[in-house]
This record gives sequence, structure tokens and C-alpha cells, in this order.
Amino acid sequence: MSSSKSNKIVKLESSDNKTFEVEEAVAVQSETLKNMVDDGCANDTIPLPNVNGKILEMVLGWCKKHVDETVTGDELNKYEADFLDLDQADLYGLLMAANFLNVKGLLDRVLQRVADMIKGKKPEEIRRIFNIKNDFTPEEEEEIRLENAWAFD
Amino acid sequence: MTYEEVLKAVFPLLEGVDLASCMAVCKQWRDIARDDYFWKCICAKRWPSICKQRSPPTVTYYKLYQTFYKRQHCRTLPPPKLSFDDLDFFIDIWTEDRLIFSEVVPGQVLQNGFKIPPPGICDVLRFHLEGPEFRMRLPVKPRFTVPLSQTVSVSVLVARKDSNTVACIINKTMFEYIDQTAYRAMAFDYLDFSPVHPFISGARAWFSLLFIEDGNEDVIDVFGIEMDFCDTANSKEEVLWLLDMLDWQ
Repeated sequence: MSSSKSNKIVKLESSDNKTFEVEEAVAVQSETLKNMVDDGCANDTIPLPNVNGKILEMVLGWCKKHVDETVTGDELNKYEADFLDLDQADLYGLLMAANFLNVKGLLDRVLQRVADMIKGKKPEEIRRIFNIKNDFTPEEEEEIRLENAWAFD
Repeated sequence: MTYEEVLKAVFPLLEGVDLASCMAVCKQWRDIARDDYFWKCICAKRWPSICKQRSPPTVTYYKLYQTFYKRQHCRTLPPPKLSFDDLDFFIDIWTEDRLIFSEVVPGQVLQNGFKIPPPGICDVLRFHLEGPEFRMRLPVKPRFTVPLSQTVSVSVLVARKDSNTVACIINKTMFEYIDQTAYRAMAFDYLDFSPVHPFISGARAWFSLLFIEDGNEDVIDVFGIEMDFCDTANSKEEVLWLLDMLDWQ
């Protein structure tokens, strides 16, 4: 009895009602989807109410690239570097999706990317990159500055 | 994954200085970044053995990291335990065996030094006296002359009132260096430190006779004396610390 899993298609629907069809081998890069497939729940379109179409497309693109055997190691590295060149809103969406869909390696890559965006930056720059409001009073800000003067020498 | 969970997943990936920057971003970031758990992660990367104990060796891993992550170059002395008000200096100067100067000089007097250098001193000496370095000095009144052909020697003891003890600064040594161009005759002796400071050697006390050139090449006309530890201690705080370390008995 042969299993024809390699030809099976998985259908996904994003929160904004976009549908995507991918090969099962691509879909099961996500542990969440793999569990559904293994449990036999993947026969109909799988709704993903917490992932929008733009992000889902990105995630599936990632998965496709990682399944493609013609892609070399160098090409993959470059792909991943370019892939993560996103603004903070998209990065956040990608983080949520990677976490929910449990895509191997993607969550770690995105977290590292966020860390790299913070490294070497001053607080004002970090606020700008991540669109954060400075809610310190001048006194609080001074207190923190003094406490961390050791880091800014 | 909540926003907070994202931060908690990213912070362990940062270097210490970056986590410190994160503390200054906003209140939420500060409250999360302050958690010593992240500083433990950072210490674990830097000094893996440190985290093999249950609790941090210092009060927090945060304190451990900021203290040791790089070499501290600028180290200021804490305030000295000794003050010049506590000290009296016993100064004796001989030519051959004749005593030519013998005084108990309170520390305050030596600390204050020369108010007005006498007229007739050379420029080199004037610059030296007006310089910014801290030196203990005393005008000699009345002035005395010293024949160059004779050996001149000095001894200095110091007493401290806070513990009623005495230490030796110079143990009867001869003036061997006479710097004619700078009008200073100099003697030195190596300091004896308390056994509590076992590894210090080579720190010297210097004693100078300051003189005026009065045309007579056979004698020096001494108007003041100076004592310093220029090899080792050059500010008032450093001098007081150095004196505090002597072998007080």
C-alpha cells in the first residue's frame, strides 16, 4: 500500500479570506499543520484566523524554499537574509505566525533578526525602529541613564 | 505570543550593553529587562562557570555583569582615613654631628606650604614652588647655611594623634644629590610599610633643602624644606593614603 502523500495538496485560508494551496510536503514544515494532517483534519480548507494573507504568503514562501532540494546552502542564506528585511509591523506579524504555525527555524530566525535590530542602538533609535512611545518622566529617564552609565562609556 | 513574550524571547539574545539600552526605551521594556534572569543568561554566555551555582556570587547577576564585563581603568581613591590635622612631623637635620634644624611640625603647616616664596629665588625653583603638584613644604625661619664640604643628614618621624602611634619616614639619610641648577639638595629613603601591605617595595620619601644662590659657592643658603613621595603619591589624597599604610607602632 503506497502512500501518495507527496502529491497531496493542503488548502489554507487566511484571516482576510485569501486561499492558498500548497503541497503537503511544504505545509508540514509547520508542526501545527503537520499535526492536523496526521490527525486527518486537513482534507478541507484549513482556516487560519490569526494569520493574514500577506504574512501567510511569506511563511509559505519560506516553507517552499526550505523544501526545494535545488536550492543551495548559499542561496538559502541569502534568501533568509532578504526575507527578514521587513519593517517592525511585518516582523511582528511574522513572529506571531511563526509561533502559531510552529515553523521550524523561522521563529528563531525572526527573534534573532529582532535582536540584531536592537544591537548597538541607542534607546532613542530603538524607539524609532519599533515605534515605541517614551513614557518615562524626565526624572525616571535620568534615573535609568545613571543606573546604566556603565554601558555607555 | 504576546508582546511581552516576544521581548522575553529576544532579550536573552542580546549583549549586556544592548539590554541596558533596552531598559531606557520605555517602562514596559525597563520592567522586563530588569529581571535578573536575563542578566543570568548574559553572564552564562560570558562566564559559563558562574551559573553552575544556585545563586549569583554577587547580589545580582546584573551587578556581576556591569562590574566585570570590561576592565575598569578609572579608579578613584576613596577618602583617606588620615588627615593632616592628625599628624605631627619630627624633623631633624645635622651637618656632621651638629644639629642645625630640629622641629616638631604640625601636619597642617606642612600641608599649607609656602604662602609667599622669598625674593631672590631662581625662576626654576619659583616655577616648582608655584606648580600644581601637592608637596609638603615648610619655610625655614630663621634661615640657615650649610657648608657644601660637610655631610648633611636628615631624619623624619611622624606621629598620629588618632591612634597615638609613630612611623618612620626617613631614617637618618644623607643628602647626596645637590641639584645646583634647581637649587635643591635632595635625600631619600625607602618607606617601611605595615605588614598588612606585604607586597609594596620601592616607594621612596624625598626630602629637599631649598636654597638661594647667594654668590658664595661653598655654602648653600637654605630658606625652606620640602618633602614628597613623587615616585608614588602626588595628590593630597594619595599622600595621606600612603602615610596611612606605614608601619605605625
